[in-house]
Amino acid sequence: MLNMTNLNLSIPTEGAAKLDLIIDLGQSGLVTPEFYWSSAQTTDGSEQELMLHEALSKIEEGLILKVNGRRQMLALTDLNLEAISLDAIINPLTPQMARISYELQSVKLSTEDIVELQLASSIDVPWPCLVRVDAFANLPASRLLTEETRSSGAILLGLPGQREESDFLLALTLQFQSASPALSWLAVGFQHVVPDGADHIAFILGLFFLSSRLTTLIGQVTLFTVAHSITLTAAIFGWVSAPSHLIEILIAASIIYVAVDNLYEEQSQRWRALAVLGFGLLHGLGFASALGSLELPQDTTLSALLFFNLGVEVGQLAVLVMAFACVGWFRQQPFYKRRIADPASVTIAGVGLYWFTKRLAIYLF
Amino acid sequence: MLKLKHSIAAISVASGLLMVDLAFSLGPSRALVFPESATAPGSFPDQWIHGSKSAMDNEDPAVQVHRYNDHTYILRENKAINYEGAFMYVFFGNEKALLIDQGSTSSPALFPLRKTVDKIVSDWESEFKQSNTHLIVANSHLHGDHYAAWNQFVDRPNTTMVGLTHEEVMNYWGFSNYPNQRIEFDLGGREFVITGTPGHESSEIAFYDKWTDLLYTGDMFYRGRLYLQDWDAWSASIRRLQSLANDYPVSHFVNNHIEMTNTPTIDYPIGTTWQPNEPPMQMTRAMLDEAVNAASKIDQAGIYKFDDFLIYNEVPWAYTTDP
Amino acid sequence: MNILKTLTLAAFSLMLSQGVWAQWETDASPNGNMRFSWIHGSLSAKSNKDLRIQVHRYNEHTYILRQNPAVHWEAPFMYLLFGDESAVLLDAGATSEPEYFPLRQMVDSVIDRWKTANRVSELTLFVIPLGQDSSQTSALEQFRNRKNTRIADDADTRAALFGSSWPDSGTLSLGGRHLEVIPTPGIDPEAISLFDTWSKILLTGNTFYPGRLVIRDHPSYLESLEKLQRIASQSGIASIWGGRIEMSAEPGLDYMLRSNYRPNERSLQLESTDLKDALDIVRLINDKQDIQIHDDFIVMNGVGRGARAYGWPVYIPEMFRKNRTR
Repeated sequence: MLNMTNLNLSIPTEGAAKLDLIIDLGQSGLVTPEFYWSSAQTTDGSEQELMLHEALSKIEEGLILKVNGRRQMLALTDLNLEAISLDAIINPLTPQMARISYELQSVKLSTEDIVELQLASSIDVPWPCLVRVDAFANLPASRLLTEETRSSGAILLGLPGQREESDFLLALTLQFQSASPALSWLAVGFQHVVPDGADHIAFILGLFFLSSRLTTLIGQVTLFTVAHSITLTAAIFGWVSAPSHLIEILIAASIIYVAVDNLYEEQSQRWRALAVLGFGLLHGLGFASALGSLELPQDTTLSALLFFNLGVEVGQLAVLVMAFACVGWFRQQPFYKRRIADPASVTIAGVGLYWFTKRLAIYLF
Repeated sequence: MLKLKHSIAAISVASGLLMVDLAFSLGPSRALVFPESATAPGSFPDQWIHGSKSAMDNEDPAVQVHRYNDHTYILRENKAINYEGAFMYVFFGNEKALLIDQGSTSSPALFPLRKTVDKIVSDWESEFKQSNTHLIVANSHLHGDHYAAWNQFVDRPNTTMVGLTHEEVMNYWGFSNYPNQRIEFDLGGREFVITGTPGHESSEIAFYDKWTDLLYTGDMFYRGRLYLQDWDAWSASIRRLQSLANDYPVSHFVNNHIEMTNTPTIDYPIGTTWQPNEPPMQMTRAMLDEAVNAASKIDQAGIYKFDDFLIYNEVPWAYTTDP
Repeated sequence: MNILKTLTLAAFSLMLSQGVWAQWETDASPNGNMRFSWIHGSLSAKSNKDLRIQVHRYNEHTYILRQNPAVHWEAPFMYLLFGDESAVLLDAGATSEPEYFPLRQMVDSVIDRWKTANRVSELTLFVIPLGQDSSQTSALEQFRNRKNTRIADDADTRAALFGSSWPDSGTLSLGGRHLEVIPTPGIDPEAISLFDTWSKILLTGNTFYPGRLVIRDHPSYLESLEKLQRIASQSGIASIWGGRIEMSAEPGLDYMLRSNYRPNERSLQLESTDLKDALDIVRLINDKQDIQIHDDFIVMNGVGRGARAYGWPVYIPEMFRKNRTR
């Protein structure tokens, strides 16, 4: 299977669809190796086409592309013959592949269309044949054709439910990656808060529900951010380490603390800031253990970390914006504390308590 | 001091969540647990089917099915059908099954892999009161002689075909930084760690099961001839495996082929259809360390012999060391 | 005039019916029917349903047998030649178990059929391996307890069978049909070749065949080929039949060792021109380590049987020539 055949259908958003057949012609039986060698040595493209006329017409007869059940005309656009020597062509262990390119001219394809690729029984190629369909910007679809199974079956282009929800985020990440590798770390950092960082969201919300004054909130969040950046960096570079189970339990405890604090402190105090700083250091270690599963690139660790941190900040900001949009209007209302902030804090405390209990149980048992 | 109603409210919330959590973990859909704290035991057969003196007269089944443990199966294609004698793996989790690799023969008449896997799944379902098991058809790497029977699964209901292109493989497992990445994969409550191990082939991945502590290394490290397409990538990958083995306890290193004889440094040449004196398939940490050591020392093309594997660096595939 | 014609015709038919023209003494080579393809295994050796031993009747006194590659990948050829008093089986296959490779049973049935057809009641069988490779001697055991059989697998029996000039040269008489025996070491120190003076066919075993000729002793091999070449020029060779086929129909391309499936094999027979080419190549190699690929065979000297031509001075394909970076 060193010389398996490849059939690649690529359908761009703009322009005609292209079908490439990559085939070891010298071994296919469609031409003799000697003839393939002399064709490959001919430099003129149209002369090559003329020499391989018989093989090409057999291929055109047997290679079937159907769109919505109807066979399509394929126009030969290019012939690229690889051949380093006659010996290499003859030897099946050093395959010399020809690339035969076709264009689909008469039809404009869309995501609603169904394509099918077949190799008729009139033609034999070095089996198996890997079919690959790259439609628009989607993931490729792959099929395998064998001597017994000569049809790819129906392939729907641009299947909407082709990928699951999580894949969308991943695809987004991949897109960022291609744009700029560093930016992808921003996306990863964001993902660590929204939606993967439920406990961090809870903590941020805890901070939110305490202060009715925006400036205090911003100050506290900034303090929190600086603190967790420090410990995150320290942990990633190996200067600090702590058992992740313990960290998780303490994070849960910190959530309870903040929520309970909300209920009983009428306004923030100076040492509250200290507490937030302390918890920030703690949460930074929590991020580090989650980040540890992703291997940071060796040479650009610092920039990756920077962008990751930025991503976390953006995530936190998003949480705050959402919270604001939901209940921020009522901050100045008298019923705010009793009807909104307190119940929210109780809930957060409850959730924190749940995590605390669960994580402690896991740790102990 | 804490107000009573606040405390009661908070505690009710916590208890409510704990109840829900408990309910879910005890419910029928999460019946099986795969604790990671201890190594789940398993067994290997004394001897795998290994072809026969006259291939035509071979009486072994087309596929050997070995139950490593309740939820882990190792399959081997009969060498009298194809000399590769490739291994394939089936891992089970709650309502999920993972088939890795599909052998070297495509025709279901000669190599009924689909039928075999269907039976394994339905037997497992009856035994463990599971239903609706979703099968994931995946590959250790994208060499045609390990996915020949892939087509047999294309029309199977309740099945995900991961795909035979590099992009599909990366997308399915969630690689954004292949190969230098460890992906946590959950197979119905059974946790795997997947990492990239190119070098023998450019889309190769290794699977570590946290339950059985098995580390599956496909074609990039096995008891036989390691044909390396990209030496630098392979060296990095073998080190990556070592680092994985440092971070996680590994019970056995399992893989895709047995090509060695039970005499150290001596292999069965390529094409052999009868291997009566095979060593076990599984490998040890000591062997991995030896490979890592080799990676730092070798810098020329050639054949390098070690007790349990051979490195064929830039040696043509059909070359044998027959005298 | 009429009477003369009738008398001539009568005398003619009388002569024919009594076989005055001894069938073994003829100037022209007898006709024979040669196959151009043999059973060659299948994609899954386990599912192969072909005959274990293919028997092909070349002519009434010459049979070619081939072992199914699904039983053993070497898939050797064996030859059964008949004379008035004895028959000779050249080579005995690659598998010893009769349930996998019923050589004795097959040979017995061919002999019985021949005996009936030619009205011969007693026939001695010589079983002569043309070399000591396991692909030539494995089923010798099946013949040990056979009556009227002599197995020439040791020096003494050979000396007894091949006449007084042995080991320099020898003859084997089957009664009317004479075979010249030529020691042809070089690949195998015990190798011999036979020349059938009746059909002018040279049977070369593992010394010369369409496949990988792995020379172990260059001077001896050169000498052996020269001996065969002398026979070719003196007596004229109709065809050369070796012990196996390893080349495909594609000129210069061999099947990998251990292939159980060879759908596109080259034909068995080689010609005297091929022998001459081989001689030239062996001279060219001059005992250097080398692999030389000819359209119909591959000559290898000083290397293992599994060595390949690439990575070799002969030709190195690009993919094995990339720069190593460390």
